[in-house]
Amino acid sequence: MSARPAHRLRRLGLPLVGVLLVAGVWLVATDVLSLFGPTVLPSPIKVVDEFLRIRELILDHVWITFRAGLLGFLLAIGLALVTGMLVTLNQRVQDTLMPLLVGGNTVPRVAVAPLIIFYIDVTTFASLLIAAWVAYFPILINVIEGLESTSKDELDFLSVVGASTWQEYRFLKIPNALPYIFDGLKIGIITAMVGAIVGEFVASSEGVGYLALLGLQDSNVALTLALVFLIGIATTLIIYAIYLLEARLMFWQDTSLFSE
Amino acid sequence: MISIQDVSKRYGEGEEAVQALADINVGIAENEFISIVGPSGCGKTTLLHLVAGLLDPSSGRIKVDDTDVQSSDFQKSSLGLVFQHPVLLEWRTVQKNIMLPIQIMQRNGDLEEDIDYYRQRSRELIDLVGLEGFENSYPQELSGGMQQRVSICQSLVYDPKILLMDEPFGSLDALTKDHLNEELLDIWRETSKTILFITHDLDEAVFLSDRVLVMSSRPGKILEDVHVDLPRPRTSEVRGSEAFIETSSHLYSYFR
Repeated sequence: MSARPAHRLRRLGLPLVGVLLVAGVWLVATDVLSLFGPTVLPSPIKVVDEFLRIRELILDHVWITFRAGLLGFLLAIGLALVTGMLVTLNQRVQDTLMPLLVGGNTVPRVAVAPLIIFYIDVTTFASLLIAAWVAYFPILINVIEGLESTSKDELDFLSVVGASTWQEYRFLKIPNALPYIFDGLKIGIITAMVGAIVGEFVASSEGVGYLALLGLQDSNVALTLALVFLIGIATTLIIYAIYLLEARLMFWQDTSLFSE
Repeated sequence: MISIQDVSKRYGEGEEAVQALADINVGIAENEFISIVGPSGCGKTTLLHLVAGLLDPSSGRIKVDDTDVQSSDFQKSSLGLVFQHPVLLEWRTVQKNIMLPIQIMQRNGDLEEDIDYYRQRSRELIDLVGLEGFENSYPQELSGGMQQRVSICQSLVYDPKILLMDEPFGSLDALTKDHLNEELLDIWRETSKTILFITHDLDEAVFLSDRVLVMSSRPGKILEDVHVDLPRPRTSEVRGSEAFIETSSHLYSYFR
């Protein structure tokens, strides 16, 4: 990652230009042209003001959602790795469970959120579980696909030299699955955050989902927008970390964001 | 050393069953170089995989030094398999790919010497196939010929008595192939292996082998066991000799 100045400028500079451009259009549309009333779309300056006014309250609630989403995401990763390994160990188990898992990945999983809240009384924990539940399937599907993506020759080679099942996983299947797993993680973190917020929409007295609804009820759109941006930035930071980890772990591939 | 007795192999059951191999009987002596030629789909690879213990014969037995290759007493380290497309892990360097079988066998207690012995051996093999300086390269940085050299080293590093090769040079250009043929003969002479070599290139089979087994297809049977009467060591000049042309045109007569 020895980025030359020109590279660094393009990588950080151009996205920043994009952000400023959107903020500029927004500012002109609201403060200059007054296309929208302040109760419909407040100006970006208003949003920043609102954040600065009650920043401690906002950051507390963002932190609650962020924590629930991140912990749910980590729980989903752990479960997906373990079940993915178990499912791929045996063809019959895989044939039995695969339709269920693919189905679980296809249905709108947030529909289960009220059910989870019904069973779990502690609402922050319920949000975490909803996050884990929705993130689990896309990660799991990618783990399974990755572990299954080895060629017959590779498996035959290991078999000839007498590799055990665990050695097959350790030396071949797991490293080979990494690109798939990372793709799953990038989808998983986003769905985890969605899950956490939906949990708060349904039943909670804290977090981004709760406070964003409250803001709208109070005609305080600026508050809701500030929350949306902050949780967006927080999620982006995790995705950024996932890309960094991917580049570090899969040094032999140059498909990632950070390769030269 | 290798004895293939009355081996047949069927895939599937009932009316849909396909007879891949029928009544194969072959004896191979220590240090012999045997090639198998035949049309595509004649079961050459199936036969090789049976010897490697990757498949079970439907009937008959395959023994190496009087031990059934299917039995648990069979030493995995007595056998090496080289594939048509090199099986190299792209996240491991050349050196580490070559040492992969050692890493696995060491944990399973299949090795006779200590790890330093095999480290030294991997360095010797790298020199032998002319890959010095590429020890720390990754497979995708190498040409096809170099990759296949690495995979040959990978199969030689644990010093198996038998080397099974499944069209190892089939996807290489003609010049590289000729070059690697000569290298393989050097390796064979220096390490005294018993080699079972599959190819569909008849000239390659004649150039390399002591005997060439000609197979028919569906079901795969051995039509003839052709002895190649050419002096060793062989260099590319041998390709112009009368005996070479005679043997190779005899083989061609099967595939016209």
